Amino acid sequence: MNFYEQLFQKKPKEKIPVEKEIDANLETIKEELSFCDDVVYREFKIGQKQEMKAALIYTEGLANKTMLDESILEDLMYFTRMANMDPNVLKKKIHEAILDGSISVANVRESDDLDEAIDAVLIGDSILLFDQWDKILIFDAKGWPMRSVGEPEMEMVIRGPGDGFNETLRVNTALVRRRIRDPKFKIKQMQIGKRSKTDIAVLYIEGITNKEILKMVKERLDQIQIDAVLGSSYIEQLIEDEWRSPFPQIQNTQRPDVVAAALYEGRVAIIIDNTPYALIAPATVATFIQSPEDHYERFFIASAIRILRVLALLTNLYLPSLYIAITSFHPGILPTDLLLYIAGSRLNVPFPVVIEAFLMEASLELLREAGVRLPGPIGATIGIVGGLVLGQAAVEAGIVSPLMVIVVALTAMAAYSSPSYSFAISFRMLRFVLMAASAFLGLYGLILATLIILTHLCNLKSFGVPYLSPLVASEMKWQDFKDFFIRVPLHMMRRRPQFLRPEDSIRMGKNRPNNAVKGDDTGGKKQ
Amino acid sequence: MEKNNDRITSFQLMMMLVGTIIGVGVLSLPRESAKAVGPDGWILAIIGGILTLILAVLMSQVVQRFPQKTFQEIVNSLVGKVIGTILVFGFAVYHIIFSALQCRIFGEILKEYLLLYTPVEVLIIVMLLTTAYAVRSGAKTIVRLAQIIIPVMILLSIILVVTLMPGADYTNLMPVLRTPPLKLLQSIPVILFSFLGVEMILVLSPFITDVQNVPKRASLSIGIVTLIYVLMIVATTARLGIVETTHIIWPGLEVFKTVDVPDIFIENIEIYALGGWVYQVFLTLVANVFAASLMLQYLFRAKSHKPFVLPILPVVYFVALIPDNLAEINELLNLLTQRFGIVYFAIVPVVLWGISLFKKQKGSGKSAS
Amino acid sequence: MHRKKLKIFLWILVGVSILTGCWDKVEIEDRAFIALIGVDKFQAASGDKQAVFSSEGDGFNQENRYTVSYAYPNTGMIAQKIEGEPKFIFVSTGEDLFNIRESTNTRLGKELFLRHMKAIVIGEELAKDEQLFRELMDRIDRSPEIGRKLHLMVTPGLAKDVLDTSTKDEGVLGLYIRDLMQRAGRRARIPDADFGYILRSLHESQTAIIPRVISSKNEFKAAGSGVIRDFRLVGWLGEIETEVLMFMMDRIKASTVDVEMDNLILPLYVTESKAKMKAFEKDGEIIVRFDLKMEADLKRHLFQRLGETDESAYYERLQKEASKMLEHQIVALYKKIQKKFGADLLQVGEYLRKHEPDLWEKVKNDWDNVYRTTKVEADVDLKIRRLGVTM
Repeated sequence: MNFYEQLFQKKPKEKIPVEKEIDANLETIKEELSFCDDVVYREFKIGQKQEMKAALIYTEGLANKTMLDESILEDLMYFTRMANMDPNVLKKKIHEAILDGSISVANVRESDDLDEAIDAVLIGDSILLFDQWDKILIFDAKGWPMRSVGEPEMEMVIRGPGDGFNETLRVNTALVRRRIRDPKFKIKQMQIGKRSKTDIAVLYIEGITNKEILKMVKERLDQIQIDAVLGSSYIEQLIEDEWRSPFPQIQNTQRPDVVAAALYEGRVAIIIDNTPYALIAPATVATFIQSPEDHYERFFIASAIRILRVLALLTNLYLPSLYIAITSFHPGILPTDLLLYIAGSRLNVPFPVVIEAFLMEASLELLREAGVRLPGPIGATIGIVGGLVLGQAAVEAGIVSPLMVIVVALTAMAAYSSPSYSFAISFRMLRFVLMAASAFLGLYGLILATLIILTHLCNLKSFGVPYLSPLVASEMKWQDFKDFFIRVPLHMMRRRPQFLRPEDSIRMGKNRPNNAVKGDDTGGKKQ
Repeated sequence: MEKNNDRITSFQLMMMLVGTIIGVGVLSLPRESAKAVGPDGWILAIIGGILTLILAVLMSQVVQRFPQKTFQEIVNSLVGKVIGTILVFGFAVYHIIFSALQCRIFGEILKEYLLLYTPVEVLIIVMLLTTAYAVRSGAKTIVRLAQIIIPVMILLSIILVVTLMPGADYTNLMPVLRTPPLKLLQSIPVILFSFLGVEMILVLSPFITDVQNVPKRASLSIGIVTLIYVLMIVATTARLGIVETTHIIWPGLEVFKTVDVPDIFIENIEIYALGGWVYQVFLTLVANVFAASLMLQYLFRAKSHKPFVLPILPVVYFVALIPDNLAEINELLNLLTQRFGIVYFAIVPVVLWGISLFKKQKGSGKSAS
Repeated sequence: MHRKKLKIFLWILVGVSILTGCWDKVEIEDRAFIALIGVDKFQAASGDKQAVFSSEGDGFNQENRYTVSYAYPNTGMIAQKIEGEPKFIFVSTGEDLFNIRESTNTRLGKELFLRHMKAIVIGEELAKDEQLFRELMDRIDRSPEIGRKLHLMVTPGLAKDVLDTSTKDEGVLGLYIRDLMQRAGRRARIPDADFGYILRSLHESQTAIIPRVISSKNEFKAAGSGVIRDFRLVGWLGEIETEVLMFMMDRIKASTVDVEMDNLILPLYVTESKAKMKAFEKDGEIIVRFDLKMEADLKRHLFQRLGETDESAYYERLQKEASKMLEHQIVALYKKIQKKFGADLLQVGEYLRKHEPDLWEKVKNDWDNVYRTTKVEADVDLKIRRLGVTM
C-alpha cells in the first residue's frame, strides 16, 4: 500500500446487514428514522403481475423528484409491466435486469449495509429496496435549492474570473477541477461531525504537495470529535496550530482560482459542505498580503500595490498608537511647524489624547459593526452618517481634535484595503493593545509591544511551516522573496515557494519564449 | 534534541552574532576609541575586528570538532569535569552580570533621551519581561528574531550614516596613524566591550546543523560588525571633532543632533536612532539571558532552559541597580570587561582550541597506530 | 499551580504599572514649545543683587545672576482656533539656569519643552562674563534635549529686547530666526555658525564666532558677528568682515561683492566660492595661505556706457581688480583677528595638528604666542562668468 492509500484508508465500521425480507428492512429503517417526517416511503409493486414488492425511500427536499418519477418509478412500474419475460429467469435475475436495463440514473451503487443506506437517504440520495434480495440500490438523484455560482462579495477583483464557491460541496470541487485537469489532482472526501455528518473534501496535487503537510492535515482532521460542523471556521479553529494566537493560521477564500493557485504551489485545500469558504493550509504572512489580482496584473503595478498594501497593514496597526506616543510623550519627533499646528488644534479639547484615541477607535469599530448588521443601503447610510456627520460634529463641538479624526479615518481605510478580512481583524485587535502600550511608555512601550508580537510571530507555525516564511527561513533565498513584498515577472518565478517543501519544485521551463519579432516595426520581414 | 525546533543554521548564527555583539557599547565606542588613540579610532576598531575574527574562527573550529555538543560537554571532555563545571558556572555568572550592566546603561540612556520622568527600574523591568518571553521561546525563535531584526537594522544604520555623511569635516580624522603602534595595541582592551558576544558561537554550538559553514559565516558577521563600528567612528569623529567626541558620553547618539534634514518630515533624528538601537539591545539581552539560562540548565541537568529564565531576571535586575551612577557603571564595566570578559572572550576559547588541537593529534595518532 | 500563581502575579504587576504609570505623559497642549530663549546677566535696577521675588522667611537667600526670557508661540493662533498675540514671553530670574527653568515650570502651568528650540540669544553683558558664559555653554552641552542645530546668537544690549521684537510676516520669532539662518549660506552678512560649530570650535581652539542680532521695536536684523575668545566676548566683526571671514572659512557659496573700478562701483554676485587654507613653515616663520577660487556674475554697469563692456580685456581687468580687493580684505581681516583679538578663529592650530603634526608638536605648547607671529598670504582667483543680458 502506498503512502496515499495508507493515509486515506477507511476505517472498518459495524454494519447492519440487509435482510432478505423487504418488510424487515423497512421496519428497521423506519425505526431508525422514526419521527423524521421529511423522509418519504413509497412502496409499490413491479412485474407483469405485480408480484414483486419494492420500496423507494428518499428525503423530501433533498431528492430530485422529477428524476425519481421519470427515471425510476416510471421505468419500474410502467415499463416492467409491458416486458414479456420468462418468470423463472426473472425471479433469479430481476436485480441485474433492473440495475442494467431499467433504471436510467447515472450514479447507482449497491450496498449490503442498512446503516450506509440510511446515511445516504439523509445526504439526499434515494434508496430502492426489493423483496427477496439482500442488497439495496442507492441512487444519486440529489436535487435541492442552491445559490448560483456568482462573484464572491468579499474578494472582488477587477481582472479575474467571476465565479465563486457556493454552499454545495460538489459544485465547489467541480469549480476547482475545471482549473486543474491533472489526474494527479486528488479530491478525498470524508465526513466529520457525529450528528451533522458534514462532507469534507481534502484537495491536493499528488507529486507537488509535501507529504508531511498532507499527513498533518489528515491526522488533525481525523482527531476532530465534534457533533456538528456548521462552517469552515469550525474546522479552522479545531485544526490550527495555536489557538491562543490572534493571527489566522489558515487562509480562507471564496474563490476557486485562489484555491487552484494554492494547490499548484503545494498547499492543501479543504472544502466543507454547506459553506462557501474553502480553507487553505498552510498559510503564511505572505498569503495574507497577496490578492489574486497580483498575478493577473502587470508585475510592477502588482508589486507597487503590494508594497502599498504592506504599508496599509502597518498603518492599520501603528498609526493611532504612534499618534498617542508622539503627541503625549515625544513631541520632539515632529517638525516644528506641524507640531505647533497639532498642539494648537488640540487646544481646549477636554479629553487626553489616549482617551480620545480609544473613544474614536472604539466608535469606529461600532460603526463597522452596525454597518455589517444592517441591510445594504442602510448600512452604507450608517457609514456616511457615522463617519462624516458624527466626526464633523465632534470636531466642531471641540470634543475631538481634527487630526484625531484624520488618524481614525486613515486607520479605517488602511484596515479595509487588506485583501484578507481575517488577517485585518487580528491587526485591528492588536491595534488596541499597541495603543495601551504606547499610552503606558510612549515610543518605548510601542517598541516593546512590537517585540512581543514579533516573538509570537516567530514562534508561530502553520502546519509545520513557519508563519513568517520566507523571512525566517533557515537559509534565506532570493527565490522565496520573488512573490513576497514584490512580485517579479511571471517567467522569473520558475520555482514554487521553497518553504512549502514541494516535492516537485520546478514550475516552468527555463526560458521565456522569445517574443521579439525580428525585422522592421511592422513586424513583417523586409522584402 | 530531535525536535526540529532546536535546529539553527549557520546563516541564522551569523545574524544572531551581529545582534549579540552590537549592543549598548556602540554608542560610547567613538568616545572610548577617541580617548585612547585620538583620530585613529577607526584603525583601532579594525584591529579589534581582526582579533575578534581570529577568536571567532578558533571557536568555530572547536565547534566543528564537537558538532552538536553542548558547551558543558565540550569543556568537560577537554579540561575535565571539575574545571568544566567551574567554567560553566562562571559562564552563567558572566552572562548574568553583563546583561545586568547592559540593562542598566540601556535604562540610563533611555531615561536621558526618551523618558525623563519614568523610573529607571520600570524601564529595566519591562525590558526584562519582554526578554524573558523571547528567551523562553527557545533558540529557534531567538535566531529568527535576529534574522528579521538584523537586516532592518543594517539598512537603518546605513541610512543613518548616510545622513551623517554630507557636511562632515573629514579632516577631523587627520593625522592618520600618528599613534605609536605600541599604544594602539595597548588600547585594544578599551574597545573590547564592544566586541563581547562572540562567545555565542560556543553557546549555540549544540543547535547548529551545518557546522562546516560556521567559520565562514561567523567571520562574515564579525566583518559586518566591524564595518558598522568603523562607519560609526568615522562619522562621529568627522562630525563632532576629536575633542568633543571624547567629551560626550554617548557620541554615537549625540552626533545625530548635529544633522539637519529640513526638507524631510523628520526632526530630531536621534530619537529614531534610539528606537533602532532598542531592538539591538533587546537582541543582546536575549542572547545573554539565554546563554545564562542554558548554562544553568547544564549545571542542574535539567531538560529545558525554560524554568531558569524567570529566576534569573530578579538577579539581573538587582545587579543592574547596584552602581550609583554612570561614572561608577563605566568603571565597573571596564574592570569587568578587562578581568572577567577577557577570560571568556579570549582566554577560554584559545585554551579550548589549543587543547582540542592537541587531543585531536593524539587521537589521530592513536587511530593510526 | 506554582506557575499559575506566578503568572497571575506578573499580570497584576503589569496591570498595576499601567494604571499607575504614564510618568512621562504630558498632553501636547499642556506643553510650552519654547522656540527662543534670551539669556541676560541679571541687572537689578537698584543695584543690589537680592532676589526680586525673595520669599519671606527663606533662610537661604539666593543670588540672582541670570535673567532668562522664554518665548513660545501661541499655538491656538497657528491652528486658527483663537485670536491674540502670536507669542508669549515669560521672564524669570534666578541663580542658575536649570533652577530658573524649573521655577518657570511651576509658574507657567505648562511644561517647558526645549527640543524644538530654534535659537538662544545672549546679551552682551553675559557674553562678556566668562563664568556665566561657561556655565551657559555647559548647561546647553549637557542637556539631552537641546539640539546642536540651534543658533546661538549674541546681541549688543539685552537679549530680552530681541524677544520683544514683533516680526511681521512670521509671528514666531524662533521660526523666523531659523528661516533666516537657513539662508545664511547665500547671503553672508551673518556667519553660518550653528551651535554645533560653536561648541566644536570652542572645544578645539577656545574661540568661535557667534552671529549677532540687532533689534529695534519692529525690526530684527541678523548681521555681523561677535568674537569669543577664552569663553568670553572680546569684540565684534562687522558685516563685510563677517562676509570675508566666511569666504576664508569656505562656509558660504554665494554673496555680493562691490568692486570700485574707473570711479564706478560694480556689484558682483559671487555664485561659487571655494577656499583652501594652508599653513606651513618657511624660514622659521609659519605662513598661513588662503587660496580662493570664485565665480561671479556682473549685476550692474552704467547705462549707455558702451565700448568697453564687450571686450574681454575689460573683464580681465575687472577680475584682477576684484581679486586684489578681496586679497587685501583677507589679509587685513586676518591681521585684525590676530592682532586685535588674538583669537585663532580660522583654526590654524587645528590645521597644523591635522596636517603638519611634526610642526604642531613643536609649537603647540606656546601656540598662543606663535599664532600672533604667523604671516598671512592670500591668492584670490575670481572669474566673471555672466554679464546679464546687455553688453
